[in-house]
Amino acid sequence: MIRTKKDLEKIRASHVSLMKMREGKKRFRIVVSLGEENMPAKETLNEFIKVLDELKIYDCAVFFGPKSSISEAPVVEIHGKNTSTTYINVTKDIVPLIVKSHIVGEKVLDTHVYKEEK
Amino acid sequence: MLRTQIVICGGTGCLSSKSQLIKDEFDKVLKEFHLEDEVYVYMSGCFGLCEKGPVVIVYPDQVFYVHITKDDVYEIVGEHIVKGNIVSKLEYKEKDENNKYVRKTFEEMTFYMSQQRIALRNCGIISPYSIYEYIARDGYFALEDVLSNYTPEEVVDTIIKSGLRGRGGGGFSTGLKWKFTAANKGGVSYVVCNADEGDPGAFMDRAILEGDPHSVIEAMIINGYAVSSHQGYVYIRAEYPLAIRRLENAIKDAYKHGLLGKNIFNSGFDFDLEVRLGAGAFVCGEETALISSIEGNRGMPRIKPPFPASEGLWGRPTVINNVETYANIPIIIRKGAEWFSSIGTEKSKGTKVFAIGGKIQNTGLIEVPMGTTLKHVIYDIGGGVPKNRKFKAIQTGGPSGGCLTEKDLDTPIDYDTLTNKGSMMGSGGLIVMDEDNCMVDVAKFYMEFIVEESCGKCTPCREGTRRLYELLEKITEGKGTLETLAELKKLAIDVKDTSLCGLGQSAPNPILSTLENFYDEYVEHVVDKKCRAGVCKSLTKLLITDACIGCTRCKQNCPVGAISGERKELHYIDQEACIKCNICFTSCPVKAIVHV
Repeated sequence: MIRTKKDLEKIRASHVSLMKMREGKKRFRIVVSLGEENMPAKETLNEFIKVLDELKIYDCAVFFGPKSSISEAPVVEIHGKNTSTTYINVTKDIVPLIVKSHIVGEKVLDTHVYKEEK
Repeated sequence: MLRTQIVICGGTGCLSSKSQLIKDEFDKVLKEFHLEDEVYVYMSGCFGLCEKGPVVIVYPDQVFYVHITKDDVYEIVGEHIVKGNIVSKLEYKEKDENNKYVRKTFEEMTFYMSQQRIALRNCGIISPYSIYEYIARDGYFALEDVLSNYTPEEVVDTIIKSGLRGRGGGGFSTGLKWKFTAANKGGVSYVVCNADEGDPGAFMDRAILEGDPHSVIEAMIINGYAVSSHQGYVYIRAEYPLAIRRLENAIKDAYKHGLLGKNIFNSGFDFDLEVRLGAGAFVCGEETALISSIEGNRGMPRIKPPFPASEGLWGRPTVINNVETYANIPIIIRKGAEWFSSIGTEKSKGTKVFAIGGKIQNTGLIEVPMGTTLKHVIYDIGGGVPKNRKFKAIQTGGPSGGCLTEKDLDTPIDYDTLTNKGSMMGSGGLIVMDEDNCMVDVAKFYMEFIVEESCGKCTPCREGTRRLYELLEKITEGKGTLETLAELKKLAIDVKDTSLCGLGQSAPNPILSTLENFYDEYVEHVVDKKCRAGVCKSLTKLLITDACIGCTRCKQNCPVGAISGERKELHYIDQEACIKCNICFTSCPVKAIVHV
């Protein structure tokens, strides 16, 4: 039974990530490229979803992208409004660092950025 | 962990294109891939872009797949969901500035970017079967706010200040309607939702009830509180079985969660809601006929006054609003009257939902701010007239509306401008016509509809509309004269002036507006005995000209074998055998077939 505003708020809060996933106009689109092995990429993707959810950050879309030509998998691309950054070797433990630096602080995490060979 | 959502359009249009099978297939294939816990699949209400249905959207990447069949599901799951490769051939694309097709995500599509979805805010987004998803989109917060913090007078004032006008066609101030009903204090009063959507081609209300039924329920409870009513009815036509099912399910859920019934939100306010089915008579969209039908009587209008606000259902004060009007109420309460009144034009506030159909690329459902021009709707959102045909007219307001021409394309769509142009907003049906439409035949089509739907109570409508139809028939059969046109106009004005209810009073509008805007076509029918569009069979003959390239397409498509000719040679139509169905005319790739 719903008797108070708090009851409504509780239901709304329990569905927030479900509903936010359907909204457009995301600040960042995080594309986790599928490597040779599916599992590490899946772990990376799940970690992104988990960390963002814990931090109540709902303006980012996280999804799988096609296999990357870069060999240092898992590879993650983060697309902002006018920016695009590629991270390599993004294992599960690196994800919180990227979120903290790139998503929260809006600063590229240099240690894992892919640098093209000149 | 949930990472993807797949939403399949579950509006009546897409369901008729077997979208339920698509949903079932997704469930099955996702299970095969062991992805049930990672991917959530559900059916929503109508997305609006019916032309491209069945439609499937994948979140969070917002990929918009069109014309999907059950057979496409395995590829979408196997490639997109599992491997991250979007299935390009199924994805929605638009032409860019270089005339090249480029992919567009849901949020980038011109069709949606030009819209402002207020009444349709949840359609295509939430599952209509989930009260929780409605609440997650701020549903029932307006009701809680009203019952906790507003007096009934304050609710009425808010709606008056918002400038909301009835979306069913009349365009009367919703707030004032509520105020007049509330003024009749003491005793029982009723709240009624008019879901008897009857205009041919209009399905705005059906889409809202199918996609977002709780918004109407919430609004009706708010309305009940504002006018001190404890009983509501939704009067809906029985031909809308899906809308009925979803509405009844939503009502049941609202009762289960204490949002209908006794002591809602511990406020002491009680409200009950029931569904009443209509048998599909067009006239029952008229409020007094609707009341009569709910009472169990034959649906016939009566003279007003007294208006329903003072003497309505069972003689008690009754407020009646249509579905779209109600869908605006909760968001007005939440965002404020000022917010709503900042959208639209000076006298027509907010947005309007339109069902666009006929000769247009993107048939479907749209919602735009009042004041948007017809040109923007037809060309930017609607994608223009297909097959490079020339735009001829747009019929607004259904059988009660009128036909506007190219010179009216810059007309802002609002209640008053359209009325001044001899048409009307109506409930929101927009039918686009091209050069292949005969305007006399269009007027005849609507008059035939009205003749069928006239309830027969008043003589001008019962007899007058039938005589009008006979005159139009005479003209399209080549038996009319210029005197027939004069007689047609005079009788149309008489029927308009003397009919009892809105149906009869507006029935001659299609005739009057086509006489006004396409008089030369009428004259051609009665003087030259010619129908330029080739629609009126008694006045037309199809001929194949020397431009024929002998492709044999006409011959292959002719249903009665009236066309002869060899490949790469000029073809010939046997006039005796020809039934003038126009299939050859529309199938000719070089326009070698003409009407004479």
